[in-house]
Amino acid sequence: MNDENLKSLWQSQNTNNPSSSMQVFEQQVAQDVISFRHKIASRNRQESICALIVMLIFGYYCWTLPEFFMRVGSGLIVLGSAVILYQLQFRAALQELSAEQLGQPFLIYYRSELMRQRNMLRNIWFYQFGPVVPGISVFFWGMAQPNPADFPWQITSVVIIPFLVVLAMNLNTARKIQIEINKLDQEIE
Amino acid sequence: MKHSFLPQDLLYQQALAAHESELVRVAAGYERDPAKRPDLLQDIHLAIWRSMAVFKEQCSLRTWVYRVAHNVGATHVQRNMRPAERNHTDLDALALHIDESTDVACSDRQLDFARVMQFIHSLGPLDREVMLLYLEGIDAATSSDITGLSVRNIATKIHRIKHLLGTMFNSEGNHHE
Repeated sequence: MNDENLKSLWQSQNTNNPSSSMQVFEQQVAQDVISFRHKIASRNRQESICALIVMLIFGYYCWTLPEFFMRVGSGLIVLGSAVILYQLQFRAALQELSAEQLGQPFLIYYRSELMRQRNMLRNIWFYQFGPVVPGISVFFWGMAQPNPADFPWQITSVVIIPFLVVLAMNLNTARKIQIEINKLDQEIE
Repeated sequence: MKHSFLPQDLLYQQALAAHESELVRVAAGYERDPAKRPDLLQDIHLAIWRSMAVFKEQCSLRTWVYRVAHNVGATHVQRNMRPAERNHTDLDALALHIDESTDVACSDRQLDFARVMQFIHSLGPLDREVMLLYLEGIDAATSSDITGLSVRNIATKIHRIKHLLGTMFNSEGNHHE
């Protein structure tokens, strides 16, 4: 198969181009633009909902639980969730690629995208789990009162083990991304 | 009610009018599953619309649109692949295993197309972008603008890709004789 046959084969794909008339096309563009704006607004809303739910539940515990340490732990979890919420808003701006980035040549864009993902995976424990660790620790300590020998190891391990597994998986993926970055650097050289 | 367009919207409209079919093919080049292609295409459209807010004719509209579309496509592949799929086949190591149980009722052209598609989806992001630009008939200088690779590097990659494709079609042709 020669060059022209190959290109013609590729370009003859049925692309179902729906833009039969300019009027239809303009309507399609208008619908696209409206749906794009909705999509961005909805994504921003969704990111906050989980942290808000946690804040509401532990805010309620903070007032109602009988054990002092559990109330303090709940309060710290609420504060930790507020920090995560702030981080999500802040990081969301970073996760959403800037319009300038989108128009960069591929090599520059892809390298920075890989680095961003690698850094996010390396640091995720810090900004997504770290802020609630003090609150959860105090909360569990409160569950062990009045006798610290009753510390609920079974319950804490249910929280800690999955956390460690996720952490290990993230670090492993970050390592693989680093290999991709190294390969890309070889292409640039 | 008539929608009032902002300059960004008008540029998006202009880009779509000129390159809509190419964008559909870019989505096909980056997403193996036809059922998922419309979602990727929608993401590409969204990214092009967003990017038009900062498009100040730094390059031609076509170069810009291709850059955005390929950047989104590559990110889509990178984000959706399972860890085991992270090791892309590079051109040096490329060994094709065309499915031998291909439907005999398919025409030769459909078979050729399926082989090309399989070849594209086995490539890493950079080689894939070069291949897709080549298939669209984009010259080496423009491809260099889009990818950031040197013209010489593009030419080398295209030469190797063509060689591999030639080998693939020849070996498949012999296999079916």
